Amino acid sequence: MNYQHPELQASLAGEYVMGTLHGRARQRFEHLLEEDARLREQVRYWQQRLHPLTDRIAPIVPPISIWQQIAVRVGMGDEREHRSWIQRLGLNIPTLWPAAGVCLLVIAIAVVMLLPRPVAFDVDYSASIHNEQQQRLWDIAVDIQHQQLRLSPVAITSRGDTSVYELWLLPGDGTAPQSLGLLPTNDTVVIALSASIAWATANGLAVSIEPAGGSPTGLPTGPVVYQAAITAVNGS
Amino acid sequence: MDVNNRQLAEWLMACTLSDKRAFARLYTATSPKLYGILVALLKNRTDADEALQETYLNIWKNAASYNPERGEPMAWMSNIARFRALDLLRKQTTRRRYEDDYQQTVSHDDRQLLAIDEHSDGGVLENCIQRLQEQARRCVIMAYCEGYTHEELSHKLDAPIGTVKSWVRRSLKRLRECIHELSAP
Repeated sequence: MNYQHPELQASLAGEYVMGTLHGRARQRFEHLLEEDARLREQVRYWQQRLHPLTDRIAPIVPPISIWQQIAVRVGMGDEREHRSWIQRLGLNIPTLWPAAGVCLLVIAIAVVMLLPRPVAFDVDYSASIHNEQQQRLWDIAVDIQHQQLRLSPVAITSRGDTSVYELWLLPGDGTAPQSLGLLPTNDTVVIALSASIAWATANGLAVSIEPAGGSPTGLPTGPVVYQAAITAVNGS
Repeated sequence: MDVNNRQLAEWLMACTLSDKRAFARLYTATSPKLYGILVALLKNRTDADEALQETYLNIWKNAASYNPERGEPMAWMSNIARFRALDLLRKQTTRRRYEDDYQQTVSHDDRQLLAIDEHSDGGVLENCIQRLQEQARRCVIMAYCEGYTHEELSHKLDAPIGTVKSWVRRSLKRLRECIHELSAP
């Protein structure tokens, strides 16, 4: 069978998505999928096109026990009250926010003040953050050798209140995101980086909206508004 | 992308940052739809319960692989659920799904779908589905929504398996042509 034939590819992809391809034929197809980008595109086409058929299926509210089991498996414990670990310790988040914000601000200022002026910036990884209209908001550049991160606003204005944009790295191993700092809205900022950041395997970058000074918990607390892929420059 | 889908996409993005509250909201908003799909496919509540758990764990772990440019969040999540159910179905050596006291949850009544916007993806697909011959249309809906294999369709529709395979293959070809025709600007 010539699996490169477009009509056969379209037909097999359709049957795969419908579910009528099974047994060895399904296994063989899944093997081909790993190697053939055109075939993957065909599968995406049918997944998107046939999806409205699910409107024919009546929704059913699942038993509450299923969510409880999922919550335990993702490490949420008893999420009925949606309490964070800091709340469970009896600490009051609103009173901690200003203190955490001031600490982060002092650290950020100290880092910027103490950083020697870079004589060069060799870009090893880059990313651009766009809004839904595909307007470029920030350019991000990473210099591994000098352990620097450059954050350049392109078309972004401050939020008009005390909240800020915070940049996060999404580790490739699925662990918690790592804060890369607050995103500037006026001038380009260069900040020092931790050597332990695994840029090569990262899943990308994300931007969340946080209270003044940045996330008080070390994890995103506000809505995630943008996401971007990281590109290796010169085969980094 | 409409408001509802935009909200789902935001929650999915938040999941990539391990935002468990967003995940809880995503579950609340989408689990009835996904559970309905799983029950329709598996026809067995015990299997559907297990598949729903696995589906959401998969969504939680792989939220970063969702790309808004390649489709709506609900389609992405529904496909995770469907493939989970299809994997389970194909592994079953016994026909467990026929032993359960399953109640019909899939509509084969086309009249109730007339209210769909004819220019939406759903409207275009339904329009094209209506153009198929009745038996071929039933094959597509029963295979996609209820997970029937060629053999099971042959038995259900009392038609030779070769005929069923031909209905399915030709239906896909006609659907593709029709979607292309109706989606053209």
